[in-house]
Amino acid sequence: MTGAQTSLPARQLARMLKGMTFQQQIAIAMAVGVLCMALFSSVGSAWQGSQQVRDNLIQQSLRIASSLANQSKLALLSGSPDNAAEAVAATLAFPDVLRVEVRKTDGKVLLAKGIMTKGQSDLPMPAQTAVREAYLESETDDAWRFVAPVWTARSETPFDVVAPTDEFLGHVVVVLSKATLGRMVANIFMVNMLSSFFFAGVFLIVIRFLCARLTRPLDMLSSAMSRAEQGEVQVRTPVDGPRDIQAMAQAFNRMIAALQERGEELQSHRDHLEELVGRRTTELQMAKERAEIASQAKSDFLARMSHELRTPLNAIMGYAQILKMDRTLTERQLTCLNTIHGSGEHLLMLIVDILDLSQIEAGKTELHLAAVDPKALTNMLDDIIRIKAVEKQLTFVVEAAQDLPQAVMLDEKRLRQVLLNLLSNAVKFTQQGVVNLRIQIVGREKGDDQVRMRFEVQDSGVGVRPEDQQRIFEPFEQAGDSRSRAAGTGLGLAISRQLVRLMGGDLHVRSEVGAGSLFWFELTAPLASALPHAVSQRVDVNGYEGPRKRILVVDDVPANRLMLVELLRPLGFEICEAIHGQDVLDQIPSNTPDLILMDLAMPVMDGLEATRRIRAGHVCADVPIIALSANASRQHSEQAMAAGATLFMSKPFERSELLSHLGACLSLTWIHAGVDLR
Amino acid sequence: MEDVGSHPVGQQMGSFLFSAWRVRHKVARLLLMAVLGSLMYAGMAVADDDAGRASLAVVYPDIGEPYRSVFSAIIEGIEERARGKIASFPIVAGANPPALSEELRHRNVRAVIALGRSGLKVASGLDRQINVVAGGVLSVPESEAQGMMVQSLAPDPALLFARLKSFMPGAKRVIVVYDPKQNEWLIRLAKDAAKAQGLELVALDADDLKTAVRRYQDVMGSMNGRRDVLWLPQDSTTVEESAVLPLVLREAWNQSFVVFSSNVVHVRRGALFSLYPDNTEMGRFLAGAALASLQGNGAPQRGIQTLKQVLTAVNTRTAEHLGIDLRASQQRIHLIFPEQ
Repeated sequence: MTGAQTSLPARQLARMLKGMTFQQQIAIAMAVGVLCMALFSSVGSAWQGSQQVRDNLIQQSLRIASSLANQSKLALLSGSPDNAAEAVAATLAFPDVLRVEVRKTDGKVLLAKGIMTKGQSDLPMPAQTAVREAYLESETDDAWRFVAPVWTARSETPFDVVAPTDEFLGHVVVVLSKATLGRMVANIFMVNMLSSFFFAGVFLIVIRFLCARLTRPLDMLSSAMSRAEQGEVQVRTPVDGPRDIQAMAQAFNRMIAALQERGEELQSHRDHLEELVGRRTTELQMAKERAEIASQAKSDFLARMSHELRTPLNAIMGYAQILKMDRTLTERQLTCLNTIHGSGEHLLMLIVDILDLSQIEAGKTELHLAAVDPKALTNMLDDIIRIKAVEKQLTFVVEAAQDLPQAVMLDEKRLRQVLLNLLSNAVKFTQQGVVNLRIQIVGREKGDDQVRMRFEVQDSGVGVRPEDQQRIFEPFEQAGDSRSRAAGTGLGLAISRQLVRLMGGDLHVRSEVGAGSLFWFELTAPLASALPHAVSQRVDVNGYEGPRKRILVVDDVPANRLMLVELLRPLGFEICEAIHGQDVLDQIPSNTPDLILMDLAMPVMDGLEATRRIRAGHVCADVPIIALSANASRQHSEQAMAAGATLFMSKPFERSELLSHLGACLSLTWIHAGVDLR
Repeated sequence: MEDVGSHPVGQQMGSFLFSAWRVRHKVARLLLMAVLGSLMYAGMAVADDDAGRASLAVVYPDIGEPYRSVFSAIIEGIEERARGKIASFPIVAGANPPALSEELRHRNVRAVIALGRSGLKVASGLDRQINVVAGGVLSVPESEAQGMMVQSLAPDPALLFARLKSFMPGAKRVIVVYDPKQNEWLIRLAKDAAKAQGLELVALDADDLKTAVRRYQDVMGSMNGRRDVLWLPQDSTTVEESAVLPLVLREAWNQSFVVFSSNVVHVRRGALFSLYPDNTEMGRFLAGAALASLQGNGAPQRGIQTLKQVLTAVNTRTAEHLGIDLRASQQRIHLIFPEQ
């Protein structure tokens, strides 16, 4: 409690000081100090001065009393006041002398002049003592009372054998007023006070000036700091005032300059970064565009090349097949035709593979899920591969699990492509032994709605070295050295892996050199309802039942038209030809076909436009149109279908495929003759 | 010297008296020497006797000026008379060296000249076998003066009255106020001397200054300037210089009566004349007296003696005021005030 009370004024003072400026605090401290100094010094010097004045007055008064004592000797000796009257009058003439008394040895007054002062008139005289000198006998607030004893003065010489004795004659009393002392003390005090306050005032003005000089740079510095705080950038404070303040101002300026420099540097970096990002973005954009353009160009190139290659290949393979139908051929001629046809197939496969890979890598490959009967797929593969296996005297074993579902949703074409590829490779790289295809169920998911199937192709061939087991999945790679390489593009496994991945699995290999290889992958597929059993088309067709059908062959290349004519006419079809779309449109009204085989790329009017016009027209609007194109891409197929084509076939095509489609579109019943297509 | 007669006597005398002994002027020193010298008896003839020279000593106060010059002049006179065969013993004021008697015996000193109060004090404690001649003192209590010869500095009244008569032949009555304790012996001599000169000596005794003042007041009220004369002896009780002397001199000036003094200082302050010691001569006299005591032809006259080795000082201003022609007296005058 006490501590709180005592600290309260200190706290108030601290709070008051906190609200003041530096200059105000200095000014107040100085003012208090200077005023105290002025007050104390003036009081002190007045006191000192008054003491001196008092001492002087007392000394002077003592001399007056002594002088009077000397001059009163005769009066006291003679007992005649007259003898001292003159001296008493002269003494009274001194300033402040109020009263003079001459008293005899018994204390009785011989002579007294002047006014009586209060309390001093009847003071008893001091007893006669050895006192020779005048002394201050008593003092009141208003007056001093000096007493000087009167003695006869006899000087002693060496000639006096008996020392003369002085006689005491009496006293003189001088009473002096203190008025002069009071006046002088007051005057001294006033003069000291006034001069002290005058110089204090002057000093304060000087201090204030110096303070202002001292704090002006501080104020400027403070103002500059607050401006800097508010975000102003080009803040500088003038370097002025005392050296300390100058140092502060310089430090502040340097700091601000450094901050500014740093800020500018940051800004520059930010701007530069944005610029850099922009430039990179632009570069990337340009690179992307270039890449896209390049990709497009590549796609276009591939498509074009495919088209350009397929077109002659179509003729080659077509004629080879036509020639093979001639029953008069010798064995050697037949072998040559087979070689021609095989080479064409190989070349076609190469083109298809390249196109596939490029499309897969470009991400343009899409899956077309449809209900697939695994067992039917197995059978079809068996049909194709068994022939090749038998040719190499290999044992081809198909192990399809008994619990395979009736149908699953898969892209049959792609799955077949992968399995054919793996099986072809197995046959190709196996010189003797077994090639095995296994399909089994490894699990069911989502409440038996999905089935996980494992596909395995195993052979007893040369195997793959461990260091080559990953390389074989790269495009244009084959295991082993160049001498042992088999025929092939080297794209098969690369395409297969990409396709398996596209279908949600991955292609694995486990192999041992000289002991064979096992390629396997697993796919998860939703179950589908059972498919109607497909009627397998037999290829050994040499006619059809029923009335003759008219087929319009549209192609700007005469060789292609001729190849189709040669292929279809022996089967009993009536063939008309058109060289471009406009030609088709011109012929239709007069010569209505039952089916049109429409090439897409043609001069004057292409197949797409012609198809659209036919579908839009009134004549033959529903005639089946099979679009043929050396461009085997999905894009072309879709375009064709969009234009109104019934089917799309890429060139070159197998005769059997064409006949199959013709049969379906025209609802034909083929007449088979046991023709060996090999 | 100031022109005393041209100013009111009271003012002049007051300031004069106040500083009488503080004058540092060379005249003051001369005066003092003259006062002391005047107390010597010049006419005393002492026979030369070499046998006594070796056993003579002077004991004197070792003090500063102006008294040192006085004692030096006296010793000078002593040495002249004693031909230098003398032992000097300066005595520091207040000291009473116990070894002095031994020293004197060792030197075979048989006569001592004691000067001043200190010298007299030391000498009075010496062996009775040693003859003592005292000098340089004003007066000695008669009990002390019995055992030795004391040469007082007080001028011989006979000489004083003779001078008075020569300056003022019409003088009939000499009035003196004295303290019997100091000057009883002198007044006895003075009475005889006055008679010899045909003068009436009115001697008024006063034991203290008040009485003295009263006496002066009484006397001065009935003074007849033509025949009455006031004598101021060397008396510390009755001749008080700060108050009484100015009073007396003022009244003398006003009433035109003659004041003469045994103190030469009073002449400067307005007394008509005074006699003062011839110090060297006094020294010779003292030496002669001491030597005489050694010769065995009788001890010197014991007791106190007046001074006869004196010189004359006059105040011409006072004389002029009183209408006295000093030249007419045919007296030899050694010192004249006011100084020319």
